[in-house]
Amino acid sequence: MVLNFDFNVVRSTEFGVGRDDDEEGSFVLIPVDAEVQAALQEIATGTRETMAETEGEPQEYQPSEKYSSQEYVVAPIGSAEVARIRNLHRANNLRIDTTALGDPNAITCYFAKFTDSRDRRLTAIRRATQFKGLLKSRNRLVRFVTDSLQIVEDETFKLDHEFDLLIDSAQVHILRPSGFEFIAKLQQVIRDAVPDNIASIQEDMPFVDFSGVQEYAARHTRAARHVASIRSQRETQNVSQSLLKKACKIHGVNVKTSGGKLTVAVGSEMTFLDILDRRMYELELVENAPEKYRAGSRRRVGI
Amino acid sequence: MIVLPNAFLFLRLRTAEKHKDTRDIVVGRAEDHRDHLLVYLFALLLPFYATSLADWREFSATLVAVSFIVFLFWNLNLHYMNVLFAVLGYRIFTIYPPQDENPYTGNETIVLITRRTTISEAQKIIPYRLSNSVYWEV
Repeated sequence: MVLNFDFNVVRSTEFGVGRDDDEEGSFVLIPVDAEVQAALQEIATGTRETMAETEGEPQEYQPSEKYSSQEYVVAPIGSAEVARIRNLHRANNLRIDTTALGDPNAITCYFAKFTDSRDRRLTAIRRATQFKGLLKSRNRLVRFVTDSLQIVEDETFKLDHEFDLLIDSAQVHILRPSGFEFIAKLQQVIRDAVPDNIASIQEDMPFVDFSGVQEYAARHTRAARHVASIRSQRETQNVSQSLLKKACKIHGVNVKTSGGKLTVAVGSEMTFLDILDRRMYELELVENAPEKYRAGSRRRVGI
Repeated sequence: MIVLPNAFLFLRLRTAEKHKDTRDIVVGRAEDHRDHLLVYLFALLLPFYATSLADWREFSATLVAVSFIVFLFWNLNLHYMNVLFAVLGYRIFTIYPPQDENPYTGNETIVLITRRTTISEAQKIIPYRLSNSVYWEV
């Protein structure tokens, strides 16, 4: 794993939280002392080490893929899906708000921004689940003072062992895809992007009428995720009309040809997108008994 | 008037250094405000001119005048002006935020106390935080 950042010479460490105080949400800084800064650096290096344990090169993140809770994948910093995270990473002079922890329910994530000796930035973000977890234990936490246990009355926050993602100048390094999707508000982003994504796919496949698919994807997040994946993977270039019709027939997708264009019948939209996203496949290991499968998770092998 | 505020200021700076209380600042535009030093000097010296603090009436008048000046400086965000900075070779810049399309980029103006003579656009600086609007680069 290559990270465009030098952890050996960290010039500054800033800490902040993401808040759900309006539709877009906001990110503000909270001053922290040297010990918290050291802890944040330790957490970030721990995250990098966990990522480095992954064998081979990390796969590119795909919105349609089903990931396990911890799986190292990457997303290009320029991709539309990471817009919110990219903006946080590139934001200058983030506002300081020392009262930001006053309403813990509004906090959605916490982050650290590091700057190295070459002025390169690294942003690390974590969904604030455990961070706020100890607040429920208020008046249940105890500490040993002099010779007796005493209740800790202060509001206590807990940092996690790892961040969900690290962002450098080139990529978003994702360790926990579900955390990434939550922080990036991915569900909303990809639903909003459906018209653009469909328009891009349409350019590659002028022989398909995507209007019905677009309408379906605008209402179904799973379909919108597929559309985003198909576009980002550039899987629609050079698709053959006859081979597509053949695949639709094999997997039971109802398509009609009208005006020289393929139209996907109502009810077949999701399977059609599965085909375009290379998730439908057939095996015949028993003679005359072909088996059809849908892959929730798939990885291209060979050429 | 001189010892206590400066003692507090240097104590704050020491605390900021101890806690590595820094902030990553990117300069949009910077203005050197040396001319404010003159305003500061005249404003501060005026109440003391030809007054006898032994007289209760004049002492009260001086107190009111000083309070008014403190209020004005605080309201005009000039509370960071200090003749000691100039003696020690520091300049005071007002730093305006960079103008970009990023919705999270801060839009607050800050004051930077630094030994730099010039600050250029897009320059990155990591000064110590004295308050949320005043920073010191050692």
